[in-house]
Amino acid sequence: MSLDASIKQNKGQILNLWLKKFTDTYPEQSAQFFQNSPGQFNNPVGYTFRVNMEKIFDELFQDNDPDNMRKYVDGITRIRAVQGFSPSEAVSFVPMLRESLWEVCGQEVSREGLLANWLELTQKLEKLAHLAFDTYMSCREQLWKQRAEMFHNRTRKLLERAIAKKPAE
Amino acid sequence: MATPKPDILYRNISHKPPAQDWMDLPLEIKPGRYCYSVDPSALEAVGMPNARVWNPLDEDWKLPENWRKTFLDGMKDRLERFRSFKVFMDICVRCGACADKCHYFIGSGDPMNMPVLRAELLRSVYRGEMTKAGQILGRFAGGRELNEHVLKQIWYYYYQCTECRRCSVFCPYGIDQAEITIIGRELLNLLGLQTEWIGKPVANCNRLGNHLGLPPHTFKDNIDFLCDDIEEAIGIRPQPTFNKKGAEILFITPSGDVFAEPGIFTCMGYLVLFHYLQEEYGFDITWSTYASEGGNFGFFTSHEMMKKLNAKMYHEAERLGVKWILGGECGHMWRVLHQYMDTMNGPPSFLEVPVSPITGTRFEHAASTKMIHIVEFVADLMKHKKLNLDKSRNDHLKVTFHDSCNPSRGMGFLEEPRDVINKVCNNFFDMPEGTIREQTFCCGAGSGLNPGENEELRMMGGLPRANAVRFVREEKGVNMLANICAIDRATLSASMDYWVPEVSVCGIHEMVANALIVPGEDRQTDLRGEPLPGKEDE
Repeated sequence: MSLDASIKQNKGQILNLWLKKFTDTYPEQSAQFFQNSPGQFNNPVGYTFRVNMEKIFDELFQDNDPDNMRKYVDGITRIRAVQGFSPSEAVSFVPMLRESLWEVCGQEVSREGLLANWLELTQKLEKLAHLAFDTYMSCREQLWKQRAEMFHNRTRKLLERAIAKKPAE
Repeated sequence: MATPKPDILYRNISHKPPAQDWMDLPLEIKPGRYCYSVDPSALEAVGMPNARVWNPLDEDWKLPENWRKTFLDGMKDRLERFRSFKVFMDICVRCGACADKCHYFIGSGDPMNMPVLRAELLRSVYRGEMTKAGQILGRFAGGRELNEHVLKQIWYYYYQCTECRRCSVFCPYGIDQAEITIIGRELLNLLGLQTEWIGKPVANCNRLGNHLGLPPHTFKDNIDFLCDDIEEAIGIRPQPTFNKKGAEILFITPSGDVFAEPGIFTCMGYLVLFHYLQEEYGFDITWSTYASEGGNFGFFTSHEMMKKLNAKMYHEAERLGVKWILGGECGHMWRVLHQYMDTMNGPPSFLEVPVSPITGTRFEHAASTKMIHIVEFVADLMKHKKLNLDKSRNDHLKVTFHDSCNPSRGMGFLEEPRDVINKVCNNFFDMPEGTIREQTFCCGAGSGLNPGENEELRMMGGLPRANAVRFVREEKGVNMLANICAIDRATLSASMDYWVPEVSVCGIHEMVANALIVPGEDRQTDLRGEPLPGKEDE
């Protein structure tokens, strides 16, 4: 069996393992909530993680379209960027995918001599890691921009009007 | 020293938090989740105790020497004075129904933001210090002593609660976490542990009548500038009156609407509406430059301060000799009015039960407070077909409505805003059940948590609301999020920028004014200066 076929066959197991690893970065009660609580609206974090992880997985083994991938990675990273994680923790879902793939399919890679395929896959995952980091940085920059704009907007109108009332002499 | 290899570095990153009892968890005050401490001058201005310079990130908070006694005496005093607080300290069975209902827990994954645990921070002190079982059995009975660590935990997490009361909707005992947070913050204020974004507005409001500290002439200037903008947009200049003695109605709205986008467009909406009513029906309403604030940050400080700031509205109404008060689109102004005002400052015998001078409708539900909300006033005008409207002017908008916690959950304002929106626009789509009406999600920054330095907290808290907005954006193409609260307008604008950037934010009366056909008008644009539908090429 090829590596791709093996991965597709074990998709459910890999996804569950991946989600568990990722949600385990939260305290126990929150991890349980994010993993198990149903509902797109009652549990937006868990739902967004689950849906986007599956989309990333599918995209990785289908078209690997950069625009689609950016959207799915953004879904997860945008949440992590505000939750107080360090940058490496925030984007740790990428190495966790590699770990999950290896834990489920690693033995087959060794047994069937699929190391070349595995290396090819890890290169794709490297690119995914870069994309996640870029997304994380753009989210953080946006947060700082919003902070700056908020302080600016608080006084801008008042200043504009003060100046309009008393033009510089 | 050689640089470690990546795999070694990665191996040292633990993704698994320690499995400890919540009482043993270390406290880490994270930047982006707390608000700056208040400048001592703001506390001194209103006679609040223990004013000093302190920093939440410092080990030493410069607490007064007898801080434990002050806190515990304050707690005992409030347990006797507020029956609700006593009951809420005693009756929780920790069933967990509230645990996953708080927007901060849902968005952050910090278990201390589960309402049950947030309340437990104070309850554990109550048990440990004030009940026999707690004093004898200690943590076995869920009790613990008040020490600096516990105090810091209380401060950190009681300023991560927006008093939105969503959790109380799900509590089988009806425990109101907002009431617990209110008392918790009151106790913290005894020790001078206030935040800048609450303390300063309180001092400003106390002295000058509004949060921003705008003196009367500046307040009037700001309204005049809005009238200039209106004249540019519709070709007519409203002529509002200020401090007019003997006017029939006094209008009070949050000062945030007077100076910052997008609130100013809501304020322009009021001005256009009042001009229309004045021209068509001789409507007699006046603005006050002294009671120039609807919001009440005293609500986030102490019951006494809330009472004092609320009273200024009634003093001004008495001074001007108006018959009743009309309130603008505001959140907690209405909670204070609906839930506390009558006990604190009412009933105002010098005012009359509000009667619409245009339709004759008598607002019996306000017989005691003598103050009604502009949305119910306008809904009544629309029901009696007193407004000439062209809904198509809002055809470029696909609108959804965020139920602001205080007017919706706090006072049952569910139908009136939807009724008004449906009468001024053709494309209204509600967000999914469980995210609106009584179960609405907080904007993420009510109760004085909107200063900006806590941006991450605001975004985490705003996620559940933004997630529902994103759904109607994707399903229905929604591009406008309407609401009836000034803090919503400020908070949701940032939240939408981050989570759903295709969606803008507005107050309902901006849309009302855009749809209103004002006699003699000449308008090509809406109040934001954007071309009206069909006038894009002109």
